[in-house]
Amino acid sequence: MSKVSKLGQLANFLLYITLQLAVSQFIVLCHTASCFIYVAFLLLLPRRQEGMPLLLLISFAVGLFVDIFYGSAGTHAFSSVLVVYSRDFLLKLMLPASGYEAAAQPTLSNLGWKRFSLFSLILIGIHHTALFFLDAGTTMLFFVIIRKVVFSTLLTYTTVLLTQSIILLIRKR
Amino acid sequence: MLRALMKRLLYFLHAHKCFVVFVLLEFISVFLIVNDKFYKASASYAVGSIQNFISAVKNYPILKEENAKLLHENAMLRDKLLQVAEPIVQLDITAPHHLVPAQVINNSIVGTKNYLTLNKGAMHGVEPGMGVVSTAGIVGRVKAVSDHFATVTSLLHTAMQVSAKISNSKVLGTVQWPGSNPLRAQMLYVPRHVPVEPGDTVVTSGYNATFSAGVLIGHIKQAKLRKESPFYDIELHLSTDFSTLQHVYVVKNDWKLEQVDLEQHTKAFYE
Repeated sequence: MSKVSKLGQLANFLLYITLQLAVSQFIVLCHTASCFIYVAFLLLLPRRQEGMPLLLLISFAVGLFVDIFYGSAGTHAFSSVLVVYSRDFLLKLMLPASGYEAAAQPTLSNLGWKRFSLFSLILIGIHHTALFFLDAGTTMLFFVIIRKVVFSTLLTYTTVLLTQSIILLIRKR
Repeated sequence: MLRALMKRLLYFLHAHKCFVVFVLLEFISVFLIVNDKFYKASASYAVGSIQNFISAVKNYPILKEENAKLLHENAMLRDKLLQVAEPIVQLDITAPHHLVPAQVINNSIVGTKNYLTLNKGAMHGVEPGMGVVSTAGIVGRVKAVSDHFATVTSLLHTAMQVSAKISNSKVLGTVQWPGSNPLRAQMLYVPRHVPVEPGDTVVTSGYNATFSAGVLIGHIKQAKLRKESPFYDIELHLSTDFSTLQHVYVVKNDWKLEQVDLEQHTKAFYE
C-alpha cells in the first residue's frame, strides 16, 4: 500500500465515521429504515490478499467503535467482520485477479455503477441481516426484522452511492 | 511426536490464518453480545462528551420550540399549584419522590433492545434502578451510571416490564413492548372479568417503587378477548413519543431501599 492510499483510507475513515455519528445515527424513516453509512468504509477498504487479517482487525475495531455509540455490545463488530470476510469472496467472484484490478479499491469509479451496485447491495444486505437479527436475539419477529433489513439496506445503499458520486464529481473537476 | 504435531498445527494455523482470525473475532463479538456488561462503555466520560456535543449541535435549531414547550409546562404546573395551594399546606410534605431534570443526548428506537443516554450521572445523584419520566409519560429505567452520564433502558426494550393499572377500574397488569412499532405496547395479565374499553388511560401502579404511582403510560387502542384466554390482548398507544424525546426527569425515591428491604425480608421469612 502506498503512502497516498493510506492517507486516502484515513480520509475515508474520518468522512464516513463522522457522517455515521453526526448524521446517519439519527435518521430513522417511518420507524423502519435506519442508515449505517459507516459500512461504506468497510466496502472501500483496499483489496489485499496478504493483508486480510489486518483488514479483519480494522473492521472489528470500527464495528466496536460504532457499537459504543449505539449502546449495543458487539453486534456491529460481528457484522463488520462478517462483511469484510465475505467481501473477499465476492471480489474474487466478481473480479478475477488481473494485474491492475486486483490491487484496486472497489470504488464506484473502478467498478462502474452496475457492478458497484451489485457488490454493495449484497454486502450491505449481509451486514444488515446479521445486525438486525443479532440485535433482536430471536427469530420471533421474523417479518418485522426482514422489513427493517430490506428498507435499511436500500437506504444505506442510496447514501453510499450518493457519497461516492459526490466524491467522483469532485475528483473530475 | 508432540513436536511434529505442534509443527503441523502451526503450519495449519499459518495457512488458514485468515479464517482463524475471522473465527476468533466473531467469537469475541458473540461473547460481548452475550455478556451484557459491555454497554457500560457507552456511559463512559469520553463517549458521553462526544454525544453531548453532537446533540448540542443537533438541537440548536429547535431550541426555541423546546423553550416554548418548557414555558408552557411551567405555566401549566403553576396553574395546578394554585388550584391545590390550600390542601397542600396541611399535607405531610415529606413525599419521597424527587426529580432530577436531564437531557437525552443519545437515543434509539429502531432496535428491539433500545437504550438512551442522559447528561446526568452519579454526581447529580442518579443511580441504577431509578425511573425516568418525561412530561408526556414514562420513559425507562436507569441501567448504568458514570460520573457525568447515565444509560437508560428504554420502555422500547423487549425485556422491560412495567407494573401498570387501568386508571378507571384500578385493575393491575404489566406493560411490555413487543418489539415492532415504537408507538405501540402491550398490556398483559388483565383478567377477563373486568370491563376494558378502548380509550381508557393506563398509568404506572407504583407497586415496584421505581416509578411513583400514576405516571401516564398510554391509552388503550384496542382490547381483544379470545375465547380460550384468561386474559385480554390489550394494545396501547404510548403517550411518550420516543423519536423526539429531549427533556426527561429521573425519579429519585428516598424510600425505595426501605420498601424493597422490607419486601425481601417478608419473602425470606415465608419461603
